[in-house]
Amino acid sequence: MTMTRPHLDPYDHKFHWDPYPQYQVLREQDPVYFNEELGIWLLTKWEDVNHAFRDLKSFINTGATSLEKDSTEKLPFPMFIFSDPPDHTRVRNLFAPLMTPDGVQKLEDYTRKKAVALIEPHLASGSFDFVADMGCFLPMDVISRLTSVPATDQDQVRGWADDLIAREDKQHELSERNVQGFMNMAQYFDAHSRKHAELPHEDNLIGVLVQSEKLGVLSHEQVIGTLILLAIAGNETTTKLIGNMAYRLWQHPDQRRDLVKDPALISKAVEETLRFDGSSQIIVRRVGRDITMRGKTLKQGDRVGLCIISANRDPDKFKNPDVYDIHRGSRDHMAFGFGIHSCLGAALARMETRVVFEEVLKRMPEYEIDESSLKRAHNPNVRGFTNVPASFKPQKR
Amino acid sequence: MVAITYVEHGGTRHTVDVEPGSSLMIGATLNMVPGVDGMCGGICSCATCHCYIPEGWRSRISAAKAEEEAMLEGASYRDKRSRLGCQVVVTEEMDGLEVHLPPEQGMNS
Repeated sequence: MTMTRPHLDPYDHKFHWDPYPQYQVLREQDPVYFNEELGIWLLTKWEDVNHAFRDLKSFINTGATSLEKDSTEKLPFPMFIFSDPPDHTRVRNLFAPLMTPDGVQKLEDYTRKKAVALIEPHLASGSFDFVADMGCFLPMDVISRLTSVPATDQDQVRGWADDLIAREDKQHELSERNVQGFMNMAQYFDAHSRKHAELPHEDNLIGVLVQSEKLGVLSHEQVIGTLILLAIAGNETTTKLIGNMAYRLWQHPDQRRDLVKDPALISKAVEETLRFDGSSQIIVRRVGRDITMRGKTLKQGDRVGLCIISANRDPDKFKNPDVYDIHRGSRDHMAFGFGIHSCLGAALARMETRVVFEEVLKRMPEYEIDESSLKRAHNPNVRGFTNVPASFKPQKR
Repeated sequence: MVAITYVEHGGTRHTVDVEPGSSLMIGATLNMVPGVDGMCGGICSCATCHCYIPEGWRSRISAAKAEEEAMLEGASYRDKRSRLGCQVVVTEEMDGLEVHLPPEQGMNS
């Protein structure tokens, strides 16, 4: 009898459409799986992924740039997410105060006005694309408030971020387009940060960055790396989360009506979307010291992918994990990671997504999605749509 | 380095060295002290680094800001000694501090 060995290629475009059955096979048959082609371990159980997030000596971030082995050399501006304490703590602490509930609340009114401004022009036509008309603009605009990127430059920066993350089907290495997107951003943010260093102090992220460079706390390369990071992180993932939530709420109209009736439930629906269909698939670590998991030895220096969207569907952690239930409201998913490296923009992403659906559901509660016109972005990490076209009853102005 | 002792609810003690300038949450999670999750990584958004600061030490530690108080309001087992470890910056003056931990982390639902 020949056994089919479980296999998973995070670069396979077909896999991106519905990765969950394959993750289930790995969780059941080979939860500590080594993909020989990519030379990377993939952990798929909640317990194992959570352990990797907690055991900061065995699982380190230094040198764990992305799924691509050589990306550190090809993308030469350091991002603090690829460092470990104490350096990591020192840099992260510079930005953390801007991302706490108070910091995020300061952006809520602005976010709401922006969301409304993006929806309103479409109400008369009765058609609206959750990503192309909303998701791709809003998070970029809000993060740009923090980095002082003017509205006139945002499309360009977003285009470069898209270039950086785009992967052709089964493209396992960085392409010319990826590297070019990164370099274009580096060039832009080099000039941008130099310009802002000459301006009076700004009470936002760019202010903190240029001040830290002046004080010698950050190098100029770190400032550029951080701004690139924010352009990607503040843009791609929340964009996709908005699209994923629009799609899941369309698939579950009864739950959507619950939200229309009681908008206070929307933040629970955001949590459930993060658990059920988070926009970040895999977080990468390096093995800091040899460690044995489920009988397999991971060697120091090995690369490990923590498959968070699989962990969030683990039946040993969540009851009926493949059921989308906004009433669950569970916050023990790991969509933002877990612990000291967890997403710094988590509160911001939650707020943005909640505000978008508060405003959308008021105006187009019974939207329909044209499933055949859904289009996906393809990346081994960021998972979601580039187009989620919806129709609804046109409204008179 | 600053020596901090974390005392689990059941009484188990963990004395660890913590870098000044980091936080009580970082000190605990870097050393895998059981009973501290620090899920959100220090953005005051999850209340899973809830801890108790003994009476005698409170005057030596900066007071909680409104956003920390707001998060603590939802935390299980809150009392007047409660703080979020991620919001308590570790200083040299805190050498020898004993931090007690609640029976479990998380929010009242």
